[in-house]
Amino acid sequence: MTDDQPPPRLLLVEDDPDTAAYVRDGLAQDGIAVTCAANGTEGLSLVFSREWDIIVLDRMLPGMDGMAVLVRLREAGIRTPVLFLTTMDGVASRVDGLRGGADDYLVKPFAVRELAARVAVLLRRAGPARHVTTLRMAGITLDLLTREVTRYGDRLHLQPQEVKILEYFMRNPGTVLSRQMLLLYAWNVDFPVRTNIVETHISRLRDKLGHDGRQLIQTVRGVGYILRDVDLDHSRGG
Amino acid sequence: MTIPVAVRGAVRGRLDALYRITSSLSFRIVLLFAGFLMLSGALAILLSGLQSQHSLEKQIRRAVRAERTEVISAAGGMDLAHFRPVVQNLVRHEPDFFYLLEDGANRVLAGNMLHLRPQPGSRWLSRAHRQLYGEPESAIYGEGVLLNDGGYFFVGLNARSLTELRRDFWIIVGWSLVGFSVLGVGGGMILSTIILGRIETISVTARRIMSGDMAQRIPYQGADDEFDHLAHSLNAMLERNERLISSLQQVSNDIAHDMRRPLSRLRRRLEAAALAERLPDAARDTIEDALGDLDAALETFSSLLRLSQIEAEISTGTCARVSLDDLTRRITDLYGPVAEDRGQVLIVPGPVPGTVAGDPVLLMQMLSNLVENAINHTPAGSRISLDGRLADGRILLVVADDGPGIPPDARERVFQRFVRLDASRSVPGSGLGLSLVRAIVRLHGGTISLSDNRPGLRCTIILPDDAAAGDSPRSPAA
Repeated sequence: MTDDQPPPRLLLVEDDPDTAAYVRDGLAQDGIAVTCAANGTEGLSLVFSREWDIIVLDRMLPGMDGMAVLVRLREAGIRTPVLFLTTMDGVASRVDGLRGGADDYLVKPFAVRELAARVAVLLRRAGPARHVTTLRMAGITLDLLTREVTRYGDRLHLQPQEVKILEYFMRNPGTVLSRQMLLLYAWNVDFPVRTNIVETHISRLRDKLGHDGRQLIQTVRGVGYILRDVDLDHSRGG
Repeated sequence: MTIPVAVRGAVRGRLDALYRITSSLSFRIVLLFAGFLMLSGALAILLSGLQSQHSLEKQIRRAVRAERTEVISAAGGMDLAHFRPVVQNLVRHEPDFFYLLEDGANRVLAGNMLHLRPQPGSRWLSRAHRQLYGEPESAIYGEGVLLNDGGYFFVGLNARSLTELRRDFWIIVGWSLVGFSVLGVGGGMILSTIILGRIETISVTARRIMSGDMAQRIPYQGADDEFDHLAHSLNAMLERNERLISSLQQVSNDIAHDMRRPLSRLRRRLEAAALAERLPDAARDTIEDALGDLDAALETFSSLLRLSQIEAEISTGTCARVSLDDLTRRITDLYGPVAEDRGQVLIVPGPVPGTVAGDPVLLMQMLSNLVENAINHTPAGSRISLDGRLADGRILLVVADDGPGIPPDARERVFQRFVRLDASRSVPGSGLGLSLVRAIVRLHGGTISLSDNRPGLRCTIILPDDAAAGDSPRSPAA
């Protein structure tokens, strides 16, 4: 988020003032301007009256519920990314939300950093650069069609899942990806796991990327991982 | 020539049913009862038979005695000369009686018999004896008198009726024994079938309840008999248990539900505290740890709520055809490296066949939980296998390890909520993993069981194969 760009505008439709304040304060650190609506009707009128970069929608709302808001705005042809907030006892809501046209969902209660990570990915997803066939970064080239990965021209032998994770990182460079997001994106796992799966796979990927793998994919404590374009000469010289 | 399999199966089925009946308690009771009945019946027949024989014999004796007295008085003197005309006359006119008059040299002087050894008093002549005509098969009862001049007079009566009575008596005894045993065994089998049927209804209900269908009740026969009374009591008990269990689950759900709000608030405050600047690293670490603990608690609540939703069979909304091969591949992709890092091996011997109609994420969670359990509860060097095969339109999925296993008496218990065995206390977990697995299996119409893998734990899941159901309408044979 550079200073010359206007901050991303986020509409939060949430009836609980506590949660709303928490999200607003938490996302403010990432330079995101959060506008709050306390119910579905208000939210929908705000959706239609202004341009938004992202909408965070609570499922349980007084009056018009989140699902109805989502369906209405998608019917009106609004393609703004929507992150759906659901309660954790909702096994069905993850499906409902995605089926209703949400781009992602998060189960309450959530950590604000998890929300920030997801918002960042959704904001990026809305950006252009989606029609490329090759991703390039830090000497890594990922051919999206052949799924071949090279580093400084050398072919890397990655497992399909590793390619998938790397693609996720390369599509979102400089963005924190949480463990939950990685699990969901790479393995369609949205339940708690009791083994260090993500750590294991990330560490293998780092090893395969080379001696600076650890600097490329950095651990963000308590949240997840981030791919940084390290200074090549520095890492090679050091 | 071979017996067709179907016939053999039917015969085996019959034999099994017969064995079940004959080994039942009610059958044995009825059989014992029939035995006593048989004994007392036989005794009654024996007594009445002996009694009627005795009275018939008495009649015969009386008739013979009367005839003898009459002959003696008609003769008027106890010598051959007096008896001879009387006997000759009687032989012509009294065909029912047997007469014999012999002189001292055993020569027959009159009568309708061959000669007899002179012997006074009453005597039985077996059927080989001595009658000149008539039925040679019947015995004769008679009385002899020694005359003054060395002669011998005998008068007897055909004891055919007595012989017949005796013979009939044994036939009756024999047949009634046969009858009693047939009635006893047959009655026992009928009674056992009836009682077994009623008991079977009760045990079928009990089994359904044990397999998780708490709403099952024992049906009444409307006879208002002991079984209906038993069914009534058991149903009342089941009603009460179900109410207790559901209220217990409701309470735990309510707690999980209500605790979320304060815990979320707590989480937010901790996060806010961690953001404060100039916080000592130690304090920041403590807050991070506290957040971790809090997340574990929230995760338990979330699993609990998810579990009760699955158990209530609330549709998850997704129903896809999930290929088990695909599922196991993703599991090995996901957990293979984790197992490897821990010095364990996760192997899938071959492609796992079958397709399940269901929720892909839940099915993934089912296998994932089982494999994670195996990884977390077995030491380094263990071998974890994931195998599957098709049988009769069902999928048999086996997750096995060669770790320490679970003792037999705990294998049913580990499926209960929050049950953690002492041996696994050190491993992180909420004690809901296997409950969730079982709920997911049941949601998909399957069953799950734990057994000994010699050594280790073997978990067998049986799921209906969707391909079997989906393909049959398309096959030309159908």
